[in-house]
Amino acid sequence: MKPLPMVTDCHVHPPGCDVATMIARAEAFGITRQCLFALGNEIDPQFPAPDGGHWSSIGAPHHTDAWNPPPERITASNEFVQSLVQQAPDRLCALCFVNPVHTDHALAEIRARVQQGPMLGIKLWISCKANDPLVEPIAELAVELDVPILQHCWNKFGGNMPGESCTADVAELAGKFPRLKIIAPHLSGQHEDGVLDLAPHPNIWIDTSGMLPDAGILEFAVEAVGVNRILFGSDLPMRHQGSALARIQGSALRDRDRRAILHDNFSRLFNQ
Amino acid sequence: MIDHNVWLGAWPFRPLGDRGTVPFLLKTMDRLQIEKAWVSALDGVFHRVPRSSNCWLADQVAGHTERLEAVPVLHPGQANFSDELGRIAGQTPRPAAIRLVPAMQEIPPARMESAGEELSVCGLAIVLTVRLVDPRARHPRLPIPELSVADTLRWLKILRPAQVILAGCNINELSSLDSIELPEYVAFESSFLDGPDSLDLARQTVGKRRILSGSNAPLNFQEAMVAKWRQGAIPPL
Repeated sequence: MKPLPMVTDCHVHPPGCDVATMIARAEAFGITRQCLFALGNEIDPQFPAPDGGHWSSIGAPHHTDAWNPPPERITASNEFVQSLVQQAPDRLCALCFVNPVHTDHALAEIRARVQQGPMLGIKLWISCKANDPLVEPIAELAVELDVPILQHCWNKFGGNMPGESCTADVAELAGKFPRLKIIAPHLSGQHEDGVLDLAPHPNIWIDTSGMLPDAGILEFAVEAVGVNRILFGSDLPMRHQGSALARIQGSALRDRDRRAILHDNFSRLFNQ
Repeated sequence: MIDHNVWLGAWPFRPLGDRGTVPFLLKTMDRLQIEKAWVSALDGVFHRVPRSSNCWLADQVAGHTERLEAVPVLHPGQANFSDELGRIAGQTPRPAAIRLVPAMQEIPPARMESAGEELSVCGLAIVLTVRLVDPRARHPRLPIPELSVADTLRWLKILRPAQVILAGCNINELSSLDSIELPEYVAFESSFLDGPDSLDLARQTVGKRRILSGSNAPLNFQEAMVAKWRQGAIPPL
């Protein structure tokens, strides 16, 4: 069996275990580095999780506004993610989750955690779409700092949630800010036509996270956007990291292309 | 390791290259050390009368029967269902199982009952397919919705006491089904149990021996099944 090269999982939410367990579980599959980010619902100062830890990424049961978390929950969740990274900075890194609806807070979080470090970039979820003017100040700051934004997107059968971006929305943002580096996650949720929405924009990278890995779509994406614009991601804890990695290992790729997706592209994109 | 959920042939909604062929399947099984696979013909899902696809399947696995177990597709709504079931059940050697994809057809309740009676006494295990793809990723023209928990329960009741393997259940469905005292003869194939702890949770919920390894290849990856079951790194293609 060939040893795995360096493998970076670019799409991880805090799982319900300690850092040592998280690292050991990933290592079992050959994953050597994990990029973490919150969804703003992991820590709620008003409602601590019963075990004193954190709620899952899906959020505490009482959160009816999980898609649009308020500033205090975002700060607490980012703080929590940062504390995880500080325990194992050689194995973990992080993006700063912000909610564009709270513009001033979002910009302050980015200045505090990305510009000052240690976070490497920005994560946007589903509080508003990528082409919403609310995203523009965040995009401008990302360009200024030269850091990527990972913008959740999906083209769902039956329609997206309100505020949930589709690939066309992300493509529009990329067109508005050609110097902005964007990661559009969830390859399988984009489908072939979504990949083609993203392909013309050289400032968009695609991550492979989310869904049970389906065969064929990765080879399609490599051909459509080029292997250097694809990153490996799992979407832990919603998805199994080994299963997510199986998509890369089981696809018809050259070894060097596999290495690019598994680590080198992330390394180049984040200057790591 | 046995893969209890494999298809052969082409999928109309996405190019899969040679992944749906016997040579590719056997090569992958060798690489991943999978001893045996239960295989069905994808065409059979879409044909009104899947006999020709079942014959094609038999031809495909001929010469590889020690590794590939043909699992013919049957549609309970088809007019010659009884004859076809009799033909399959009378084969030598008998197949280990037959596969139903009930969400593919509108089956009148009376027909469902009568087909169920025949199936329950035919002596073959039944792979009851709950889904083939993630519902969020369905092609708009894919006519196969998921089998709902309510419909799955109806089928389980009708098929009693046949051995039933539910293919493609997710962890929420498994938990819902278990909450209503699932009969002993029901097992779950694992391809859609894809959270980091889903397999463990499933084993704890319904018992270890009722969870069967499966991949849903070539729509999904046998590599994913192996990674989940062996909890270790897998060799690249």
